[in-house]
Amino acid sequence: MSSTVETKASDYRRLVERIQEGDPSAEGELVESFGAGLLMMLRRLTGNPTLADDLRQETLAVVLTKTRNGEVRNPDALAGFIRSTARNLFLADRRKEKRYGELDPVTEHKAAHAEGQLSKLIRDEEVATVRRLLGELRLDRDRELLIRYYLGDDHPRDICRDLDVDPDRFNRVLFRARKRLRELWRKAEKRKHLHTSALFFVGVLFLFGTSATFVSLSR
Amino acid sequence: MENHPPSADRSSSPEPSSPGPLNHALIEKHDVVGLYVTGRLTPDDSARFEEHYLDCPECIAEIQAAERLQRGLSRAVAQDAARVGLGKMIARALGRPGMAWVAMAALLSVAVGLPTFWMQGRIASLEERLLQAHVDRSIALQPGINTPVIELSPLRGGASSTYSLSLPPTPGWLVFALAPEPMGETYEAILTTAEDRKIWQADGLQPDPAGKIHISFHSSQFEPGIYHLELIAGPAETKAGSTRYRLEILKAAAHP
Repeated sequence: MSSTVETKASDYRRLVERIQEGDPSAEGELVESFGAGLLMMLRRLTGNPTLADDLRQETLAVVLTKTRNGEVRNPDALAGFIRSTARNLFLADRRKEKRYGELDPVTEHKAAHAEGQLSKLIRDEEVATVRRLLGELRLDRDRELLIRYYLGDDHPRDICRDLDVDPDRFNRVLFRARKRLRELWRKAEKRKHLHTSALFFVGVLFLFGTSATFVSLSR
Repeated sequence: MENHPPSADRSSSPEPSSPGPLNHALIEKHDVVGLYVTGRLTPDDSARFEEHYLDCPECIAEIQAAERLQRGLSRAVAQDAARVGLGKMIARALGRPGMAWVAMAALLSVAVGLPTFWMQGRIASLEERLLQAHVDRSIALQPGINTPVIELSPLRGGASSTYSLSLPPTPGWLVFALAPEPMGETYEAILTTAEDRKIWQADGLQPDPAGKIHISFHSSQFEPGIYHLELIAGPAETKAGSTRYRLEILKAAAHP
């Protein structure tokens, strides 16, 4: 574990050095490496995808400028620096924007996991896949476990006790459920892709046939 | 996360308790992704995990899956609850004293009321038609006076003859006296519009001793315009010959 951490730290250090040396590809690498995670974190923090994207751009710009200027005091903790910058920008934006309203620390945290409550963004496909997953679970207890864990406020210890589930099994159920769900979604994506390809192929064939008929008729 | 006890208190809960950076074994073992998505991580643990996943595509994919699972579950449970709620609402309403009778009465009203409503409409329509038939019959039974008789004679050489006549100011009978060429014992007559739409047809017409065929039309059958009256000699299968008359029906002349 420590070797992995050390490797990561040395990677960060090297990346910071390259940016300070003026290597433009290093800046691209930083954006590439941290962009998606930053967006994910900011989306959870703000609960607003557009605002999250704006803040991501701003964060990356600030981080790159500070890195170039040698203002990153601990390059080994580059991820922590990026996270702090993003949160500070979010807090500064929240202060100047009334759209956030008065948020206390609890509300702030709730905003972090507000995506679960953004029912407007819920898609039918997600529901269908989740229903299929629930249907595949052999035990009612596992279904209840998932629902209570993801939708309730119960402490995992209480869920384990109420459902008489061993904590190890608890984690296994959660982990397998997510893994299975990802498989189902991947298959659904694949089917969609195949469907689109088939439609495209039929369209090309149709165009080709029409053109051939037109050419043969015009001769 | 403030809603939950601090990490040290959660002895049986799956969570990262050791300080320092996270690795995937620890994340998987304690289901850090699930705890993070459901807001069960402490602020310190959240910060550690965020620092980890900022540049970790595997964890980002895991978080996305967990978020989708949470959203999907939320929606599915809400849908089920709505269905159950609606069912319960109906059941509760029916369970109230007297509500079952009210519901039954409402059902009965619909069951009886809809066909009755339809039948009433049908009866009204039939009554209207019956009244019209009575009027038509009484008109038909009235003795005809000053009935115009229009003599129609074929032109020599088979040319089509045109006759102009004005509709009477008050609806009444028009009698056409046709003098066909003596080609058969019986005739078939067809009245068509200028667009060749058939509006009347009769077979087995016989000339009177004077050699004329009389056909009466009620003037209400005509709108101003062009009509054709064709007289075909002989039975339908032989059709020895035909005579065609062109009728130009004009608007009724105004009363003097």
